Amino acid sequence: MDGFITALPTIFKAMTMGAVPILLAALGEVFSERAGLVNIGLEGIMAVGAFVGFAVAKMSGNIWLGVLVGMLAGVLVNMIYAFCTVTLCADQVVTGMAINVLAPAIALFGYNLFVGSNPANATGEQMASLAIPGLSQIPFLGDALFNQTLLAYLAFILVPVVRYFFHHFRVGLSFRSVGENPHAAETLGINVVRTKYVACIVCGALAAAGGAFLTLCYTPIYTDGIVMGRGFIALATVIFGRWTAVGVLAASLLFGFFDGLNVALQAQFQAAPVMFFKMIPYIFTIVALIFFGSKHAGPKANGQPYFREQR
Amino acid sequence: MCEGSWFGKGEGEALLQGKGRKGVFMSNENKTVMVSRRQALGLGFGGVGALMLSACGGSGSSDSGSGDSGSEGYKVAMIMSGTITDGGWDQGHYESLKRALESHDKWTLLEPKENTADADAATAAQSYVDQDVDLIIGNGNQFASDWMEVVSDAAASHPKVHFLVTNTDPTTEMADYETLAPVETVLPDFKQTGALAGVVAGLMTKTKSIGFIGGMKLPSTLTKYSAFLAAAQKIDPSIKGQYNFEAGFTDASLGTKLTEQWINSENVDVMWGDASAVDNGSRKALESAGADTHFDIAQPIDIAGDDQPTVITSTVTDWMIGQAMDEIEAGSFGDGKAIIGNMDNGGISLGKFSDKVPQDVQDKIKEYVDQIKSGDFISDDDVDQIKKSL
Amino acid sequence: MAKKELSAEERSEKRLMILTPIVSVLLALIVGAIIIAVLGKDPIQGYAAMLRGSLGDPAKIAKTLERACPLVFTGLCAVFAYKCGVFNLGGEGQFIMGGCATATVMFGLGLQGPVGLALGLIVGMVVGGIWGLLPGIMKITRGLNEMITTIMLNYVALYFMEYVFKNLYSDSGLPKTLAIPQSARLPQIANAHVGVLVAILLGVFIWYLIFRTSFGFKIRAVGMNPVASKVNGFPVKRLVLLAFIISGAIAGLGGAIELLGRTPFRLADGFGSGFGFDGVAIALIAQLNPIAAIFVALLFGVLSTGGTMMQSVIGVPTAIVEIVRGLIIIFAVAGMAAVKLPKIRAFFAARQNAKVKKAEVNA
Repeated sequence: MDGFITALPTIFKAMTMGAVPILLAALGEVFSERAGLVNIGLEGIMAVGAFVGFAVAKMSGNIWLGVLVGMLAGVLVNMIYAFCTVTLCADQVVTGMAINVLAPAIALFGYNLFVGSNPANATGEQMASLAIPGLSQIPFLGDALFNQTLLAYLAFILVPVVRYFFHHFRVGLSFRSVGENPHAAETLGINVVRTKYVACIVCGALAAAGGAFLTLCYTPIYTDGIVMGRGFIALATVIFGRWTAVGVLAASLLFGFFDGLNVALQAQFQAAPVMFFKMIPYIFTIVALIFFGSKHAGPKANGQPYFREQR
Repeated sequence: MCEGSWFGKGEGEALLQGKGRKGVFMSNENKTVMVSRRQALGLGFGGVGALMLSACGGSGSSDSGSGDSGSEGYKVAMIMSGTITDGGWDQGHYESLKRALESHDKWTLLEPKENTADADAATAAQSYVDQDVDLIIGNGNQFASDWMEVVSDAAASHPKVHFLVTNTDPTTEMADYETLAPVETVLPDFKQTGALAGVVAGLMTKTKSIGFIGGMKLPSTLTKYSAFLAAAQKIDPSIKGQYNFEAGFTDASLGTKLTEQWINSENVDVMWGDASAVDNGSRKALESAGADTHFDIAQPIDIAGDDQPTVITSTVTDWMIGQAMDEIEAGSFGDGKAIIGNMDNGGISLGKFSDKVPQDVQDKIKEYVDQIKSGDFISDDDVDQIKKSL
Repeated sequence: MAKKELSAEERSEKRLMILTPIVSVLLALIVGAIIIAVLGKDPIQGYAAMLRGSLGDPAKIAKTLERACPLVFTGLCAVFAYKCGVFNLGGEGQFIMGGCATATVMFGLGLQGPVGLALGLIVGMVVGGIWGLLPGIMKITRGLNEMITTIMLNYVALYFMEYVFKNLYSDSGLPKTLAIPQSARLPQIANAHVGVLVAILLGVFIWYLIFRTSFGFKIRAVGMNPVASKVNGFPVKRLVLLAFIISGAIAGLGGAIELLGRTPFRLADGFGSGFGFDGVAIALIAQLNPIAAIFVALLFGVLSTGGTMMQSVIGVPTAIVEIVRGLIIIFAVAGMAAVKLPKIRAFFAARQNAKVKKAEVNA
């Protein structure tokens, strides 16, 4: 128990750090699903964001340029998804799966060229942490909450912004109507196709930012498989968080907590079979879904292709 | 039935667009079946046929490119589990190979096969066997079991092809091989590696608390850690060690979190890593805890320098590929011998020091290094005792 | 009745549906060739190496078949589930658990010979089915989306397999299990293990089951319209659960066969890695036809074994093969969707009609 209490601040730190990439990707997915598009290609988009952010920051020496170009690359990749699912009405799951095969391969290919030509490129730039004076001294939670990178702060600030967007803006409301009933939305004069494309742009940008966080704030390197299933976890947090920004925040923090707990247990019980600790975050996700999961549905037209001609 | 899911009642329809969407779902039985059968044939033959069509134009010219490159020259290829730029295991192998090539100018290097999945390991080896590559290197003991069939086939059909599997003990790990004639392995003396790192850690730690992260729980990993701790405790018996042998080789964030946990709860101030990308994460945690008081010993390549503020030195492993090349040239390669890499033949060494290591400490380290080399510093019993407790 | 109803429009659509995957493969290979050419290598030489490496001689064909074999199972696993409207993305987890169960029975009971082989296959299938049932129960009782639960269970299975090969039945402390005893391995036919044959027969059987039996009819009915099926008195929940179990069992059997049939005959890191998602892609490129899935899996096998060969002969990064594979999936999915778009359908139908009219005029 003593060990657990001394470990708590570090667990909280791991929680907030680990929550950010999932939170960013999940917020993107909220936009996508609110507009009726289930995008399981998050994993691939994050990989591209992680690599492009890493490479551009290294080349230019400007971390924020890295984040920005990484987000652009994510949007670009997600436009493939948007074109297939919105314009061609292709199956969303398969298209997302294809993105998950294609995007990491492109990222790895780029990495081969980028680092293969110059091994010095292997270690990239890192964003510095900004400690908020006073607040960061609070015991247990201070370091976790108030000593983070600017990108992490931005991610957390995004939560109320997204919430406000969906509840108080006309555009936000029309977003939701597209996900609930696109045909009705169309008769109300909402451009369904355009709304879906906008959702894909936002989703691609945010998911890629989550990926860029991994290489620009977490560790200074890119490796194949760096996303480690975080894209899929983000999908789960969207359901668990019931398609709301605040819910998604809570879900990703909880996931971060259990991931931190997994590491704390690994650090503490070194001779134990650690694979059972590694299962914790995933089992937790399933259990959480069982208890808090959604008989209450998400957007009603979620996952369905929208044929404009079909009334 | 599935109101709660993302797909609601449309999910079946989405998948079956075109077949079932327009019609009433039960009326077009025969149609669907017919389409399906023809599709099946078209798809299969078409798909494979397309590949053939697009390739058959070139099959004639291809032999010139991959054919023999003269009777004098030798070819070497490496099959690896990760990428040559991983900053750890794979890069260490690649650099060893590069070093060997510098001193062996008869040898040419084929493009290494990176990121080799388990399911493709045998095919990858076969592809080099087909090209009559003189030396095929597999950079880890997983290849020992994957290559069993390839080796026995090649021994009969391609006698010129030789296999070198690193980090493998042929007596235990290749016991079920039909033939070991074209095979050798490399087995560095990891007790020495661990002892070198342990000496540095023991002299540099202020908190008397050191840590180790390994990617995979291999026998060699246990040996490294045991020797590491034994050597550190030889310097100061009060030193305590933390370990994790299952960190994998890619999840850098795990390295960060684990190291942070140890810094905060166990006061660890010197880390030794054996997990490629994960070590990068570990260094990141050390750096944010203060690079002047928290140190990292790198492995297996020499990376101490200005861009690595926490790295004080590196334990360097050379995989003795030059010796394998010599043996092949002399015709003595094979029969399941193990090439032992140690401090005498340059297989194991300590890299350069950063300026964080004071001169007097460096002198002391040099003194101990000589003892390790001659085998006087730690005994096998010290190491085995720790190994048993793991 | 069905034959007469085939209009010109439908006939042209059918032709397009067959053509699309072929064109997709060609397009993806062309893009791959362009990338290879940009790298300064010879794409034609590369693709020739791909063919030689995968289909060049009987031994290579056997290896390619063995490589494709697990993909047939995960592909069929996906086909069967999707036919019932179940998005099982857990093929990999079910495949792995099948392998784990087989290994556990084999080493736990110290089995040998044909008895071990038979029991290993059965247990693999059963445990795969159970692993598939879990998300099914969650879906039926709690309404949980199976895409998420199956993916999470994939990770659980992955770590459980680590426990099996590192702690339970480790081969002298190495991170791999002992090898399956020689006597309990699958027999070979012409260089390939009989699992390949089982896979093909299973594909035909699943096709028969889905398209020729009343059970299959109900499964498809639920997949197309669960509400109407319920109204018609079909036991929808039970059929959905069965779909989960059967698709899991198919993948589990695949895992058992992979372990019992293919070198190195052990569980180790990377066993089954990526097979589940490949299976999903195969199922959808095959347009949910079990027999087509066999051929698409074969194509994926060719890409894997041949791609490895191509990579080593002309010396290009491994990622290129992955890119080509991703492109094939995207082109095929996009193409098949595009063909069904009302505008494009109308365009082809108009052309068809024009042709017919021309023919009439000429006559």
